[in-house]
Amino acid sequence: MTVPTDPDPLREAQDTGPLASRSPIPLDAIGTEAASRGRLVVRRFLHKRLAIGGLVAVLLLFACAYASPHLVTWQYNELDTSAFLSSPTIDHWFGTTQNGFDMFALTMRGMQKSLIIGLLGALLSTTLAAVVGAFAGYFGGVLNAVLLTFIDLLLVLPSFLIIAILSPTFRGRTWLIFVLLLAAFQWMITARIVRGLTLSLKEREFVQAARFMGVPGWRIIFRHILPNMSSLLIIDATVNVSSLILAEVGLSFFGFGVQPPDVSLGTLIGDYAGAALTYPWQFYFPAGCLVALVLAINLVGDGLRDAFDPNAGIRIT
Amino acid sequence: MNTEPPTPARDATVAPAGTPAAPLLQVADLSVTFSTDAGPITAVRSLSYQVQPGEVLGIVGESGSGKTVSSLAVMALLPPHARVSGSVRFQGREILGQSDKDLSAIRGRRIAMIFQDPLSALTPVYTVGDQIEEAILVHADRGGGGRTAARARAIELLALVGIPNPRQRAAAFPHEFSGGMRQRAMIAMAIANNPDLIIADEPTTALDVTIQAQILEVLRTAQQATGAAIILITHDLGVVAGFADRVAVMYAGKLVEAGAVDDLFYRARMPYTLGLLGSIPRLDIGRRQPLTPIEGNPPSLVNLPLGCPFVPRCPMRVEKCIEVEPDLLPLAASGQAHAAACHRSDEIERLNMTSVDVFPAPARPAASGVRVPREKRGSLLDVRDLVKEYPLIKGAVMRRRIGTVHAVDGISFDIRESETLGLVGESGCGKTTAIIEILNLVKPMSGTIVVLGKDTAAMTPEERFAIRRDLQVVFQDPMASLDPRLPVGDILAEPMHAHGVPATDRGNRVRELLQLVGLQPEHANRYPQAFSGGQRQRIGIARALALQPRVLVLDEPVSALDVSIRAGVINLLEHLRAALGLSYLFVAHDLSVVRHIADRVAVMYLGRLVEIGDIDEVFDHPAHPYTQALLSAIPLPDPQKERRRRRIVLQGDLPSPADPPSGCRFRTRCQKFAHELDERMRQRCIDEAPALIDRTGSQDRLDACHYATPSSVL
Repeated sequence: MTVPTDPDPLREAQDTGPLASRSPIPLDAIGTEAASRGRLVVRRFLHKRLAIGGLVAVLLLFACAYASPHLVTWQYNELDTSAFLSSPTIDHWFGTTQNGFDMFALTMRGMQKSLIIGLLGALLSTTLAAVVGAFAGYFGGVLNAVLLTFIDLLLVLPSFLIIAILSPTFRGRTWLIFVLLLAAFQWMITARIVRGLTLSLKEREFVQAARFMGVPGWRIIFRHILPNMSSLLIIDATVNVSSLILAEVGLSFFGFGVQPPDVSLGTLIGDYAGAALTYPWQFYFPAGCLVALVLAINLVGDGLRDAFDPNAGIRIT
Repeated sequence: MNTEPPTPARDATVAPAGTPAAPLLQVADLSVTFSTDAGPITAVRSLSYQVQPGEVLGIVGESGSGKTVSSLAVMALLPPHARVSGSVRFQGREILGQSDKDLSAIRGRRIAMIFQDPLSALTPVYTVGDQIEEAILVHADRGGGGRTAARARAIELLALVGIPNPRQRAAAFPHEFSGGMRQRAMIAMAIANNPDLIIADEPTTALDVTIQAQILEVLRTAQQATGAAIILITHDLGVVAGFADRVAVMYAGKLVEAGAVDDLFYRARMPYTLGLLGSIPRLDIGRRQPLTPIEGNPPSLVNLPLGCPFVPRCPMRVEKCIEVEPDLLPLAASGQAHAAACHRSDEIERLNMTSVDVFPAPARPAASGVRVPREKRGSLLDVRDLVKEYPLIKGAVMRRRIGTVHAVDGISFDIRESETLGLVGESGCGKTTAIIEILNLVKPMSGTIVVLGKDTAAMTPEERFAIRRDLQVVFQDPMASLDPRLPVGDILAEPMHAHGVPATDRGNRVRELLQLVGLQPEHANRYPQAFSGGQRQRIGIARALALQPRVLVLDEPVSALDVSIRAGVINLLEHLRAALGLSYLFVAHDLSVVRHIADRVAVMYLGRLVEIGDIDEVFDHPAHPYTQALLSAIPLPDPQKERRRRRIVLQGDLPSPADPPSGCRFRTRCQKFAHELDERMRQRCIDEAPALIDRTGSQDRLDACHYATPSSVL
């Protein structure tokens, strides 16, 4: 080896050592430009003004629904015998009903119920969809055929009718059964999407690598497959919240959902729809809250979708 | 360093010596900047070169070096948000800043472009003939001849580029063409108007090596037919060596060295070029060659530092390199013809340094002691008559089987302790199917797979799970084989978790593994996205080693990596094999890499093995015509050898594995069948499938040709 004659100080320092450890780049330098994906999504989400507005609105409504009973004098089950059918005043911000119930307290209570039903139902339905879809897609074969048939069967059942028919049987018992039923009719389409994604993820090399290492199937699903479609699942859960709230409202409107003495936005709208023209505060406040809530959630959902979609960001500014 | 600064300097555009004629294309001080979220990216930085009429200029560089962007800038095909400055003069006329309409008169007529991916470059809804016709009609003067003449010309062009039955094939759609045929059609379209300059951007990268040889032949024919100059953009130094007159090397958006092809290959004067040349495994040298990896990664083009962009990877850097970026200046000895951008190139020239001098090659791991003869070593993996077929199913409701794809059709090989078997073949030959069958560890459709003495057909699930410890895999694409959602530490711990290694030991082992593959233990907390391709492949290797396996299946482990990174990973694999006593099943289509790393090689064609044996034996004296053609098709990064070589160019494309030819599967493309055999001998090839047996009487070699005659093709 003909070594250059003039000594090279930089050369000496890296002449020895096995293989890559000679790398002249301090390896700490790597990774600086690669902001983690999560941070990137957050950054992109923060660039969407509407979505931020939606998020702020959702959080405000949420805080309002849960904090206000502790801040105002009238509770949803208290009667103000001195104010029947009062229009909005300092005492009763949203006015009162014919019996003297405070409309603001009722609306907030209804929103609590609607929110909790929406969130819980969405969580349940997305989880169910993820698990069923991923298992059907990953294991294939008989399991796939059975689960797919089941999904198709559920898809053709009229959910509204079935819940309406079942509602007398859970009357007087907990509203959680109602959430379960709502979620049970919500997950099927997502499950099919999850199954499709699983089929393609299953062929990806990191899943194959895990398989050839001897990692059991269920663990591959929870460790590799579902986390890699988390964007879809997050978006789906968000959108499900609003559609479940709407489903709840629809059912409660007809009296099949939340049962008195409990109230939800649906029962309120149902009860006071007749007063929309005569005592408008009874109808427009809960209806307005519903619209604001669903709209805000949908804005968040849209923003999340854009933030997760790598192609949505290619706009040269 | 006391050499005086070279005088004839500043705008040293690289011109071949003694050509006073006006250049066809003159690019001067071309810069291209894109603005992105991360900041402005300067993809091309003050690039200057000339192309003379009729010459072939090769532009070489790794991905991200700006070679494609610069050629698009020459065609003025960059998106509008790219900021282009400098000058591009074609036949004396400035191209930059012209309106799209004016440029259309030049593009496709005087300058033609051939793209890398011929599938996306052809419109799927028009026939190939129509598209060539369109290329002709668009530039036709005063409607001369019209459609019929254009049609006739299109067919003539298709015949010229070697498409059989051009009249019928002109009416076919792009998807009915194979990759090689599409690229031929692209070339036909490019030469339709007798252009003066053809820009070919990685024209053969997406193709198999035997098809690449065909396409390069066609390109040569096209050049002869039109007399056009060619700018050949590629990352493959072998292709350039045999094809180009002059070569320019790009790095980080700049030319770093340029000169006549021989100057560049034999007298490179810039460390990066030297590193590139030293890091390619040579098909004709094999194991004796030390590979000199260039450490580190190409720089990000955002916020390039002041000095030479190669500084972090350069073993010869001095203070000046960090402060001042060197210009591309002619070398003292060779005058204008050969220029390099390095502060120390005069020194390199004076000492006539080679890549081994500049880049210290790691010591080759010594073969431990006397090697036990092959027969005495135990068999780790034994595959006998392995068959894998896929049904071809038609219809969704009334599903019926309309045929069978014979993906793997009876292959047999074995791997002994501390031995590397290279399994080579072109895409579609069934090599990936074969290893997936092996890795699945289940009973094959037919034949047997015995891993570490256990037959997969008779394994219990527990045994299968236990065997997975000893049989691990490294995949081709380091981007896809690591779960992007897990930090590296978790990725490496996963196999240990699955096999019940206690959590406390896992952490230590992860750090140990990272060090073993040349990364740092602190990297365990990072996510795969934070690493470059070469580093990710090292992580993939570390994961495969986590359970201390005895056999590693390597599925094209370096083919997705850039040339300068590849050598480091190959060296790592060699080091690990020696240090840990591993056996490799190395699947690859790149025969040069296989030659460098393997002890034995098995050549696959259309689901069958055609030749197997000792690596040097097979590569130096291949017996089967397919092996000969395959070896002959691979370009060597050695211009003089390339000029002397006679290339065997195979006819046609790989037949469909759903309908393989009778008898010998290779006979439809076999050069021996076509030119050397008489009628009676041919009949035997058609009737009788040749068995894989020892025909040449050599020590360790089997081939599957009735008329095998070993000959040297390198």
